[in-house]
Amino acid sequence: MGPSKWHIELWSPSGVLLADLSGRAKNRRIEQSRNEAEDIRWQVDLTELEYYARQLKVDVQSLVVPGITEVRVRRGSVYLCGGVVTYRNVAITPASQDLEIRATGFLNFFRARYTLASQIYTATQATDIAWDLIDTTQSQGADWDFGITRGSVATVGTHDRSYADDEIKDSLQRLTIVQTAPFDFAFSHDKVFHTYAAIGANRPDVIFRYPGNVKELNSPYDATAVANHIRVLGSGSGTEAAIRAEVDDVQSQQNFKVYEKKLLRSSVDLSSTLQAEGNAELKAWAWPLEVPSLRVDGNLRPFTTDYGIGDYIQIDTSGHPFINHINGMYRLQKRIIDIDDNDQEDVQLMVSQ
Amino acid sequence: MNPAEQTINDTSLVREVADLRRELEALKTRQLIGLDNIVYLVSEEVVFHLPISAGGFADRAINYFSQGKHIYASEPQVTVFLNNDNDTAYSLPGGVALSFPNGEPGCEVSWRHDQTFSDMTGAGNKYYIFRVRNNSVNTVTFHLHVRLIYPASVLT
Repeated sequence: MGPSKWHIELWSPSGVLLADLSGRAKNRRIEQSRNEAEDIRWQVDLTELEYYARQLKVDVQSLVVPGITEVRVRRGSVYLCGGVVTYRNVAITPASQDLEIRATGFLNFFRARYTLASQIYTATQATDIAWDLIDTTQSQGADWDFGITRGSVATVGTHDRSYADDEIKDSLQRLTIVQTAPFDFAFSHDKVFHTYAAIGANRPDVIFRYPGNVKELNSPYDATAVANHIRVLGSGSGTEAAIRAEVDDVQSQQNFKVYEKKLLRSSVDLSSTLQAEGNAELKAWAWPLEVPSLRVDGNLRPFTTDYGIGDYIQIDTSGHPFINHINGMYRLQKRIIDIDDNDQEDVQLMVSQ
Repeated sequence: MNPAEQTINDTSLVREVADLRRELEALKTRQLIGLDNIVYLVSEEVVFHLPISAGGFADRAINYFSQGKHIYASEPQVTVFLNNDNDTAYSLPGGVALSFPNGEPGCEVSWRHDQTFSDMTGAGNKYYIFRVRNNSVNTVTFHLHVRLIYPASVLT
């Protein structure tokens, strides 16, 4: 393998660069999604890695330690994402000897962290709640500190929230989907937690056209899980002590008839929170889901570093009356980048309006 | 909501299982219990007929035994009739037939759940002691009716 514009860098948790696998990594896949952890996978020829370690004069096993080694991915000089290595697998056959490595974004640190038994916020800025959830868990001792720091702060509005042993990752994501004072967040490659009123920008200059730089288009329109009357059951047992909320999307009901859904939120004892979660569920499920998916050639403009998650990009699929509506500005929700050994990029984009 | 994460794909089942796990975990947080969640029973009635001379008093005790040896809260439900049993006109303190608006002067009843003679977790008993006192100038027969309100269990 030769030089590559894609760099997969291995870092220590304290921020020391250990290795740059540029030109050595193969079968690379990078998955990014709005308000979700990244998924980063690649393989390295074991013999090449061992040779590289000898050149660096380090123990080869110390380079890739699942649960400790961190990874940063950049294309050229632009960092796309970072994460922590979670898995490695040595696969040796008569024909090859490879090390498969997987890493996950820093958000997933908080999949195994919970709020305190009682953590209450009253009329608190939504993004401050999010940061405090992270900061509180990291402040419980040296072994609790992942090294996440706070970056850009968006001002979006306040919430009342009451948490009780709740998973922090899920709590962060729930703050992003409410109808009042939502926001987006992202963890940068260097473990900085940023919040945004809405991540991304309007990019009418970023155009994906079929035929053109779009190789394949899929446009599922899915009404399987439509729900337009949501019952949200909160804390408490029985009819005397339990709290609940019920919300409706009347227009959806007139279109499709009533489809009900029940949400359980047993740790929530605030009616306002139940209402907010019900409305978020309506927003997501009251209408059929349409998430067009495009496979584009990443070696043609626009390149993956020209746009990012959350950006509104231009889609042009003129030529088929049935999908005439898929023309215009769409928001990039998820992106999967597959890079082969020759640095050829196959990019899958999932967008929505 | 990120619609890309709502679509049915390889991770849909994993996400549903994760949601289910979180819902189960949340059940272990504080859950308020309302009145419709707790079953209470009322015991059989115990009746004492106690003729007390002027200035006298009498004590009676009731032991309630619970099959399950647990600490529990309960409440005696007490009615006292003077001289004429089961006649609300003679019910202490406000029966209309009683001599004064507030009943025979000096007729009183009191009770307590005794700490020393109760052993809810050992013998399984709750010991209630009742005292009736006649401070009037006449002999009065106290008809003391007692039932116990308690959380559902086997009680004797």
